[in-house]
Amino acid sequence: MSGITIRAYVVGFGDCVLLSLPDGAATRHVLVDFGRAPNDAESLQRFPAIARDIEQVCHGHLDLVIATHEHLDHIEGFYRERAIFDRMRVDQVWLGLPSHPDYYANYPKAQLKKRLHDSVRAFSQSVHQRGLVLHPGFRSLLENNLSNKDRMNYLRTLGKKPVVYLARGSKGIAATRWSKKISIHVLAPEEDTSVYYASGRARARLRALAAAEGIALPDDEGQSWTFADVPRAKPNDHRGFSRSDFERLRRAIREDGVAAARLIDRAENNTSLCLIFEVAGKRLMLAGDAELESWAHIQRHCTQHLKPVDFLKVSHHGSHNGTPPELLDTLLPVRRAARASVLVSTKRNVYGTQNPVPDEALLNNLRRRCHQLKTTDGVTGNCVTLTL
Amino acid sequence: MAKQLKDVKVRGRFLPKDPLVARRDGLWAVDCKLKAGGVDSGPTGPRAVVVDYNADLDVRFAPVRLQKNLEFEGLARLSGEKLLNDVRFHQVNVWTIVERTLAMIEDESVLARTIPWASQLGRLILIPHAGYMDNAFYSRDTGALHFFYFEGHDGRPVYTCLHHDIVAHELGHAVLDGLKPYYNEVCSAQTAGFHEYFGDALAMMASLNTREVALQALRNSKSKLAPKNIVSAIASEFGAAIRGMEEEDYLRGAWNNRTMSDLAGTYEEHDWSEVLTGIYYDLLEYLHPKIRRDLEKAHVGAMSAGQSRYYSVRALYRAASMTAAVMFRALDYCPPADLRYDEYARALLKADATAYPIDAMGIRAKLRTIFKDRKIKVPEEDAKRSVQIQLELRGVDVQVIASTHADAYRFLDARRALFCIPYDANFQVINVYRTNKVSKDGYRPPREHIIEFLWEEDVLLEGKRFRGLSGSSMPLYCGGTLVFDTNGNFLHEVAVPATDQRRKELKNYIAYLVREGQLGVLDGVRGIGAPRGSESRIHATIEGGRVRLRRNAAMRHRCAHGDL
Repeated sequence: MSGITIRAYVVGFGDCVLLSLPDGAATRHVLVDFGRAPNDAESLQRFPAIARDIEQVCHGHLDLVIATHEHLDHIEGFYRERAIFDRMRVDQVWLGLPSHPDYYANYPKAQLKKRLHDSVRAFSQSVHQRGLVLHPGFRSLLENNLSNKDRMNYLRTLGKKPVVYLARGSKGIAATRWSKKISIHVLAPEEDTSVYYASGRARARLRALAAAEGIALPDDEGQSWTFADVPRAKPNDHRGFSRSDFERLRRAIREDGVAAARLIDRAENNTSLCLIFEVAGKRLMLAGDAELESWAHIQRHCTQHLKPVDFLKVSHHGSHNGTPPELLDTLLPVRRAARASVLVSTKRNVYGTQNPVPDEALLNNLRRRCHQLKTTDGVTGNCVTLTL
Repeated sequence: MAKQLKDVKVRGRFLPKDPLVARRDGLWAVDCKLKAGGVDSGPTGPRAVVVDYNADLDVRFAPVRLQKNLEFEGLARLSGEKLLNDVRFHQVNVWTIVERTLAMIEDESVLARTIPWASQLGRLILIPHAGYMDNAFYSRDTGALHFFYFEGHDGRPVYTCLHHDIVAHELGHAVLDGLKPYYNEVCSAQTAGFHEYFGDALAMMASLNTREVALQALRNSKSKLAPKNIVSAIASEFGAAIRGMEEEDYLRGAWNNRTMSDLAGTYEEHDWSEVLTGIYYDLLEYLHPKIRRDLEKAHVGAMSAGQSRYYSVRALYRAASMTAAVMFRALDYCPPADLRYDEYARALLKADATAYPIDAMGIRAKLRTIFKDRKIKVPEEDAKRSVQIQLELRGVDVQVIASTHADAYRFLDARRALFCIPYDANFQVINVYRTNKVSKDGYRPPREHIIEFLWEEDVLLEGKRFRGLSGSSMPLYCGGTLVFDTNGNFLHEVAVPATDQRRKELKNYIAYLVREGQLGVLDGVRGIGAPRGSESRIHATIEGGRVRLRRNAAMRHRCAHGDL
């Protein structure tokens, strides 16, 4: 085999990409993610056939499994189809460094996210106990973030060799020379993912949410935005505004738990492994669900790798916040359109029509920059195939 | 400790511009006396109440106490940076600006009536520390002005509740929403632009009502307003903060030369607003030297530099109040929905002519010149139609027909043909009121009785350009405003009928909003975490084949690229 074959499985709103890469006389099979969004029940029916197809294509042997991050729409399939994966030979599993069991002990600044995660879990349980109605999209978002423990534990036992946990600049990991003919560069996540929340707004939001959830805050530099020294109003101190008026106002402005859940969802996306494969003279970029905060760090720290690519798996299912438009001139310059292929693994209307995914403006921009833009949306078969 | 006495005066304190100007030009907080019966801690007043709820933290900050001496606790000893960082001052600042600005626009020389709130609540809610965001907005749903804070380009906190122009601007949205609720509907870029203009104009009016600001505005010129000054540079610190440059110290400039021709094919409402803000400033610039010359002419003897300066400041004060009166009084002569600038221009001229039959100051003549320069074509008055309506009024008691909505309805229903109301239009009378205006020099114009009516017609959206909205219909708001005097004389009529041109323009506007991604279609499913369309400027919901568009209050001031 001399060419590269990329199979994007039709998992609905999720990712499942099988790379078949030439490595001298051999072919290496790398499976990047396998999952779908919890509210995309219909796509689940395809999973057994997809797992069997993967097994068949790689003859029961996966050289590498990569789970870019811990969301169900990237990992659900491994666990659900474990009967098939158990009988396959998986050499190794790569996960992002934040999935390391000791991660939060080693990176205390990132603990705030973990604690928020725990508070969202408590919120979810309380909603369940009280029988409150969740919007379907939000219920899916909660499940996507909270129901991953068993899935991650399964992935940690899947490979023959110990799991490798990766971040940009991680030492002691030979990720850059995975095999003699294949290099893989890790562009993200950062080791300490708290850096994604260092900007004024993100930091303020994170700290305010933590304060609202009663989470003790680690010392930090600069403005805390928690107004700790400002006296709070007494519960019955309502001048010109009754208690019930206030409760109505509060409910109209704030939904308990929702802001924290959305924040940890974004935070988890930003722990995505963003990888560049260099193989057979081609450059393939797979960015997981990296959002703009992660891209900002990639642009700052990985300039040597930000060159035109021959294949791009568009981040975050083609959403508006998964790809910085200004980066496309670097990765997919229009003059190289004849040599570039793009994949968008997505399904329309799973998360409602607000901020539609995929973003139409982004798709139009991408179409100008490649000779083939393939999407799994609306495809009736098991997968779409690209050859480079 | 509510004070019910009518003549109670509370000491309010506010920043006349914002912290940037305070630090740069020494324009720190000033005190003012507010006539406010029913004032209490909070602060709470008859028209506005501070509820210092921070949604990010889910806490309510303690309300500032009103002391027995009618001063707010803790402020007397504070000044400079300490004052700027004191949450109690933030509460008092925002409340003071709102109460005094309201008093100005409700004054008998301007609108001469109490402004109703569109939320139907008695008090407008003021939330000075709503959360972390580079934003401030008015929301009809909460009946509140929400002010946020954020980290400025120099690392200092920026509290939008400390920005006079922002507070007055957001109050402008609330005032206009109370007076003309259908201007909040998605009709045209011009109507949306008018909302923005109104806020900026209110900010300029309120700003110039402070002696310190008037002095500062004339600081760099002996007698003439410089084009860019402390008043015409709207929202100084906020502009500098979001642009990241202190020298770019304004969000919008009133000294612009924008014309209608410049905006052909443009739908961005803030761009549209600048035409009218420019007109407001043009009139101010015209009146200031004219009044100053009149004052100086009356001066006896040699005039010192100090006296000249005094007259200049006094003239600016007076010019500001006349400009506000002319520009805001015209609201009563505007249609209830889909206001276009040519109709506003006609309303300005007619309202002024009603109030001042003799154009002694040359205001109407100047306005005509300004409109011409700004490429606004003022519709001609139809004398025959005036006579026709006047004839219809024979034997009609205006006091009766303009006393209740039902009486006004009967009057209009019997004359559908005259007022171009289709027979099958199930129209409603949305407003009936009267004014009692007085000019600054004591002249009483005729009392006006005003009737506003409105109906909806369907416009079908068809074609790819409407994407997900294609195949559904949306309302085209039609209606009119009639103005009579107490004696039953017809004064003014403005009609907004359903024309092919309006249908076409509405479709083009919707297609633009769709194309630019400014519309977020909500699924209408309820439950915790339901999308609120937080990132789109306009929410669309489709029910039974009809599209309802609602402006997202939080995104009103956000451009496509995320700036305000």
